[in-house]
This record gives sequence, C-alpha cells and structure tokens, in this order.
Amino acid sequence: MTYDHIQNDEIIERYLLRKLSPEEEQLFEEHYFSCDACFAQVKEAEKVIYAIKDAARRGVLVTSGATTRSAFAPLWERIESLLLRPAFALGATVLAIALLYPAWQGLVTLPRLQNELQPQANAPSYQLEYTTNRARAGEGKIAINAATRTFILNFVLLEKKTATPKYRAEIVDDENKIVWRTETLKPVGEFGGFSIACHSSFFAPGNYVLKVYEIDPAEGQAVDEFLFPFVIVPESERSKP
Amino acid sequence: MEPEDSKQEDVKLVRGIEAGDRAAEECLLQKYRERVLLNVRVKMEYHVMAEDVCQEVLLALLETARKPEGIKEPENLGNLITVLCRNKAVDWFRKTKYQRREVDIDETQEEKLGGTHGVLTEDEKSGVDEVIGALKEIDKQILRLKYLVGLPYKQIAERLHRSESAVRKRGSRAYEQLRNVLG
Repeated sequence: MTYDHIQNDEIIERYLLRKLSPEEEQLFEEHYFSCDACFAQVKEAEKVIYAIKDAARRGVLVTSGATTRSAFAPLWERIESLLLRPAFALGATVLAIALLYPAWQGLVTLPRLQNELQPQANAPSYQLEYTTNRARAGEGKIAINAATRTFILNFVLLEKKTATPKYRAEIVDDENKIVWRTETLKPVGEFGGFSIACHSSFFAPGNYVLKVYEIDPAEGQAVDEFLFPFVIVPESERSKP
Repeated sequence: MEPEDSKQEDVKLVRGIEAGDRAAEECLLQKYRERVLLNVRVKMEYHVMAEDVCQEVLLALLETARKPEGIKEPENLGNLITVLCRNKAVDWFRKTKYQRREVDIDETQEEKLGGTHGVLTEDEKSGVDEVIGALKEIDKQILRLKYLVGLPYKQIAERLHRSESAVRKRGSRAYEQLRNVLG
C-alpha cells in the first residue's frame, strides 16, 4: 500500500469509518503497524472525526441543507480554477487580444477606410514635369497639400527609345527609399498620358521623386529614366502667407 | 521510523523476548500498545470495552513471543498483531452479543463517541465549536457527509452538484482547521 494510494483513495478516513473492504482493511492495518507516518495520520484523523461526531451530537454541526446548487455549478467552478492558473490566464489574454484586435479593426479602422474610399469632389490634379537629369531633380518641384485627401499625378513622356516600350514606376522618399512601386504602368487617354491616383495619408510630409523607367520588352532592361519630383507639405505650412 | 527499519527492530525484539529479555517485552508493548488500542477501538466501534480487549491482544502477543519459535515470521509482526486484534474483537462480539442488545441505543451512541480514547478538553471543544461555527454551510455539509455519513468525496460532489476537486479542497481545508485546534 503506497502513500499516494492512501491519500488519494481516502484510505485513512474510510478505515476509521469502517468503509474499507476486509482486504483493504487488512492491508492498511499491516501497513500502519510498521509505518510511523501513517499511524500518526490515523491518530490525527481519529481525533478530528471524534471531534466532528462530538460536535454533531452537541448540536454544533447543524446544516440547513440549502447548499444544493444547479447542475451548471461544477462547470463554473472548473472555469474559476482554470482562470487562476497562470498559463491559462496568459492564453486567455492572448485569445482576448486576438479577438479584440479584429473587433477594433472592424469598429474603428474599417469605417475610417470606407470613409476614405468615398468619392471626393474637387480632387486636385497635378501635372508633373520630368527631368532625366538627376542633378536637376530638385528644381521645379510642385507642392501637394497634406490635407488634400486624394490627388492625382499626371505626366506625359514625350520621348521613347523603343517602339513598344513597357513602363515601371516607383516613388522614393528623401532617403531614396521606395515607398510605392508598380511594374505595370500604362498610358491612358488619347494623348498617351499617364496618371497615378494617390492618397495623402499614404505620404508623410517631405520630398519625393516619382521615377518612371522605360523598359525594353525584348531585353527586360530599363533603357531610360524620367524623374518627377514633388513635395508633400503639411497643412500648417501651406496656409502660411 | 521507516517500515523496513521497524521490521528489523521487530525481529530483534522478538528474539530478545524468546531469550527472556524483559526490556524487550516492555519495548514491544510500548511500540504497539497505541496501535493495538486504535485498531481494536475501530473494530469495536469505539466501545468502552476496547481497552480491555487491547490488553487481551497484547497479552496474547507476549505469550506467543515468549514461546520458542512462537512467532514464525517476526519481520511480519504487524500481520500477526492485526490477526490477533481481529480475533479478540470477534470473540468479544460473540461473548457480548446478547448483552449488547439490551443496551439503550443512546447509551451505545455515547459509548461509540466517547470510548476511552482522548476525550476532548474544554479548550479543544471550544476551538472545534469556533471553527465549525465559522464554516460556510457547504463546508458543514461536506463534513457531515464525509465523516458522519461516511461518503467518499466523489459521491459528496455528486450530491451537492459540485466538482470533486472543489469538494475535496473544501473538505481538506475544514479538516486542517480542525486538526490545528486539536493540536
């Protein structure tokens, strides 16, 4: 008879209350006759049980019998005990965040984006002029008000080095970091101009260059480069006299 | 003392008693008197006569040990003593079968509760009353079902519609509180 067996199967209490089978009783008695620790527990338990019986006899241990609960109570107790475990609490927190983030996106971000996607009247359109000289890229820049929600960049490429060129475009910031890029830039309209619709919230105030590359379809290499500098200025600076 | 050490000690004591060593007899009685008394008390359901039956068991044990080779397996002395306890208790039940029927039921209950083992002191009683008085209704229910009705925690949990672990935890906590006031 092992210590775990004695503890888990409530052997001591059952022994003192004569609830063990004859075989279990015999085994346990043999055990506690040679085990001081178990005998000490039996003595303690005997005294406690005696005290409980004595209290019941004296009318101290009276119950109203009003403790019967609904069948769902064990489930709630299990949840309560789970909540107290650190691993479960951590997991529950992660799960809550995982659920709250999409909810926040749906309630806050999505409506804002939907609002931004609405048609905008009086959207400004800017005609960019290109230079192929990098040294002159800073000259003649146009300024676009950051408060402008949507704006359109228009430009025309008058020169081409191949018969049926393809175009690639990218916008780089002050540090020559690409903030936007497309491989499929195509001319639109009867004059063969190009247009790019932009949203100002995409750009932080600062200097930008729209770079357009003419690509030789046969080689797949850029054969020419056109630079269109522009500046996004904050509303406050724009409104200064 | 670990069980194996205890068995080794039993072998030495039994050999000593066989050789006429009085000190070994006293040592054996001291070692097992309390266990035998508890064993008999449980078997006799805390009857006041448990003390007398305990003495009979110890006497029989000594008589057996004094005989040469009287105890064949001294390393299993515990086994022998439990058999002696059972036999003596059964003897007592047989002898008093008719007398006990005439005893008033309340008197029997009193005997079962009191017996001759450690009656609680007034301090202990008031401590127990204080602990039980401070218990929640559910804890009192658990104590009643566990120690008066004798149900295992699993059945108590089913009866009270609570989880077994919660009932076990509450029962253990109440038990510990009582154990503390009982020293």
